[in-house]
Amino acid sequence: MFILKKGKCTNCRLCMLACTAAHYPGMQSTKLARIYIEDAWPEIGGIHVCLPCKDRSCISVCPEEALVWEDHVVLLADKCTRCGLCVDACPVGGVRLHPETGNPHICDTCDGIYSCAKTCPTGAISRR
Amino acid sequence: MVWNGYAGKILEVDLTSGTIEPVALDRNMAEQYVGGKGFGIRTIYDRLPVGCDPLGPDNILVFATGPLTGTSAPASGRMELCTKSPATGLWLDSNAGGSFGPELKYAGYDAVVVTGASPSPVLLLIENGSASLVPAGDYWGVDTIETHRRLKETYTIDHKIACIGQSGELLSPLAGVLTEFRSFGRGGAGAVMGSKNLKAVVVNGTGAVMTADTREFSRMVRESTNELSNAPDTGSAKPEFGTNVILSLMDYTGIHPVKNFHQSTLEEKPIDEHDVRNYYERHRACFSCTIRCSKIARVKEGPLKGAFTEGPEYETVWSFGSQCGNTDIPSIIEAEHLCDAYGLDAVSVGNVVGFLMDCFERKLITAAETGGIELTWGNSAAIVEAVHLIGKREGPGREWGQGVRQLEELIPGAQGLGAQVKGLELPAYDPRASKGMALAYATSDRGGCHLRSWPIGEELMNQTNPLGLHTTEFKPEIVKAQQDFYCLVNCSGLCLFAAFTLSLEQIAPLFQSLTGIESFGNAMNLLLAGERVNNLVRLFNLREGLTAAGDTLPERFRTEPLPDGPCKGETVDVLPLIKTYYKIRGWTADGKPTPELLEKLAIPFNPETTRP
Repeated sequence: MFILKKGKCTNCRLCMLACTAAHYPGMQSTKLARIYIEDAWPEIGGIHVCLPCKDRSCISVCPEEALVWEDHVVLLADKCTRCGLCVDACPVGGVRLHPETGNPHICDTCDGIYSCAKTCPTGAISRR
Repeated sequence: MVWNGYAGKILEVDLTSGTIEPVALDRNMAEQYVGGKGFGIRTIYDRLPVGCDPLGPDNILVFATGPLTGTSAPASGRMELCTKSPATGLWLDSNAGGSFGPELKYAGYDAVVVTGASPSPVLLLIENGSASLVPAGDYWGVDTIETHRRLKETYTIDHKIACIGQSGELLSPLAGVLTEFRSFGRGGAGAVMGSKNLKAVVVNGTGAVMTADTREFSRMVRESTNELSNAPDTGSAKPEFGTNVILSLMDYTGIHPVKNFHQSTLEEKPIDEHDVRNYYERHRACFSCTIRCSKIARVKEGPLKGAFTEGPEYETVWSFGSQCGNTDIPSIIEAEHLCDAYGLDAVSVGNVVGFLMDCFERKLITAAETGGIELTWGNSAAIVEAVHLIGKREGPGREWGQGVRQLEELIPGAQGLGAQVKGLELPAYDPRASKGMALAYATSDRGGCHLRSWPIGEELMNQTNPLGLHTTEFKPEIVKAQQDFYCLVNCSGLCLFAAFTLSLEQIAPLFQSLTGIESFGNAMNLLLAGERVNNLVRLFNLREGLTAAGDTLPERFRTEPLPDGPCKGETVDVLPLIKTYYKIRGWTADGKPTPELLEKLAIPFNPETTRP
C-alpha cells in the first residue's frame, strides 16, 4: 500500500522509469509504467497509481470479468476487449492503458518490491 | 540495424518545401560523435553554406539528444539545440533539461534537423512514427507560457513542447527556446526558429530506449545515483538551495560582478542563497534527476505579490541583481518570469540592462532615449520595465534587443563598456577575479559563456589541491581538459551538474552498458570524442571568419583594475594564457588545428572546406 505526498513530487518521473524497467527488462521508458505523474506544468500534477481500494470498482465494472483480485488486480488478457471501462471506473486514475496492446495496466506492487517507491528520491511515494 | 541507447533515426524537416523524412542514423556518426553537440556540429559542418545569414533560410537547426537521454541514468534528460548563432555569427549549441529530449527519443528520433523556412507560421508535430507541419498562425504573438497551455489543451497534457515567444518571432539575438520553464537560452536560437516561421515543436511518443546490457546498466545507474545522492553538492547543497548555492562564495571571493563589471561589492548587503530560498515554494526536477536544483519561487507580498518563476537561477539573481546594482528579489523573480514568457535569455538580457544602466549613469543615454525610464543603478521597477520593452522590442527595446555588442556601436561613447566576448554577453563571473575563467571566456566556442569550462571549481573548490584564482599555472591545461569533458557531457544527454560529481571513469560504463558500443567503455576514448567535437566546432568557427584576434576579452579587463573587494587591484592579460592554450590544444600560433591533430582525431581533412 502506497503513501503519496504530492507536495514532495519534483516531477522527475524516476518512478515511471523504475516501473517500466521492473516489468519490461531492457526497456527505458516512462510510457509503459503503471504509475503516472501527471504533467500538469507549471503546477505539480497528481501521482496516479492503484492504491488499491476496497471497492475495486475496476473489477466490478468489467463486463468480461477480465480483472480479478489476487493480492493485487490481475488482468486475464485473453478475456479483455480493451473497452476501457476500468479506466473510467478507477477513482484515482490508477488504471493505465498499454500504448500498443490497449490492455489495462495496473500496479502489481512488483510482487511486493514496490520499485517506484524504492526509487523515489524525495519520499513523494513510499509504502506503508 | 538494432540500436541500443539510440533511437536509430533522425527526422529531416525542410520547412521550405514542407517535406519531412526520417533517415537512418549512421553507425560511424554515433561512434565518433556520440550525440547531442556532436550530431549538431557534424550535420551543420557538412551542410551549412559558408557565411550564410544566421536568420536566413539557409541556416540549420539541429535538436539532438544523446544516447543517455530518456534513460534512468541520473540527470540524463537533457538535449542540445545547435545552429549558427545570430548573436555571434559563429557556432551555437544551447542545452536544456525538462523532458522534451526523452519524449523525442520515445517518439523514435535521436535528432530533428530543420532546414529552410516556412512561408507562414507553423509548428512541427511529431507523434511516434508520424510527423507533420501544422499551421500555427493562431499562436504567433503569443508568449511561451500561454503557448504551452494552449498546445497542451489542443493535444494532450503529455505532449512535450519547445517553443519561442515574441522575442524569437521578432528575431532578437537574445531570444531562446523554452521547453516548459527550461530554456535553450543562450545565443539566439529562438530568433533562428522565428526566422524560419517555426513557432514550436510538439512531440509525443510511446516507445522506449533499449539497453544492451540491462543488468550492468542498472548496476551502474544505481552506483552513480548513490554517488550523486551522497555528494555534498548534488546530494544536499543543490537540492536545498538550487544553483544559488554559490551566491555567498562568489561574493566572498570577489568573483561576483557588480554594476556591469565595474565593481565586486555593493553598498547594501548582497543577496545570498538564504535570502533567495525564502521565496522557494517547492522543488522541481528535470527528467530522471535526483538533484532537483530547480525551484518554484513565488512572491507572497508587496507590489509584485503573485509573481513567480521556475528559479530564479544563480545567473539570473546576478544578471538582474548585482549586475544592475539591485538587491530586490521580487523584481528578479518577475524579470526572470518575463524572460521565460517572452522567450528571452535571462543572462544576456540582465547583462544588457546593466550595460544600459552603466550608460545612463555616465549620461551616454538619457531618459529621452530610454522612453522615460530612469535607468539608475538598483531601480528595480525600471529593470522590469526594460525587460518588457526588450521582449516586445517596443520603443527603445527595438535596439536594446540587439544585445550589448550592437549597442556598443549604437551608443556614442559606449565602445568598450560592454561585457561580451564574440558578441555573447558574459555571465556572472568577473574574469579579473578568476584567471581560469578569463581563459574559459576567451576560448569558449559560443562566446561569453561559463558552461564550456568552469575552472573556478579547480581554482577554489578542489579539496586536495586548489590552484587559486590568480595563478596562471595549469589554467590552460584545466580549461582544455574541462572543455573536452563538458563537450562530451553535452553530447551524452547527461547534465553538467551530474558530471561535476561523477568522474569520466564512472560515466564510461554507463555509456557502454547502455549502447553496447565497445569503445565507449574507455574513458579516454570518450574524452577524445569531446576533443574531436570541439575541434570540428573550431574548424567551423574559423570557416565562418573567426581569427585568433577574436579569442579575447574586452580590453578594460586588462587595463582597469577591480577597485574593491578581495580582488582589489586585479587585472587580467589573457594573451599569454591563450598562447599556451593553443599549444596544448595542438593548434598553430594563430589558433588553427594542425593537419596532424585532425588526423589523430580522425576528422576528415578537406583543404577545400577546412582551413587549418
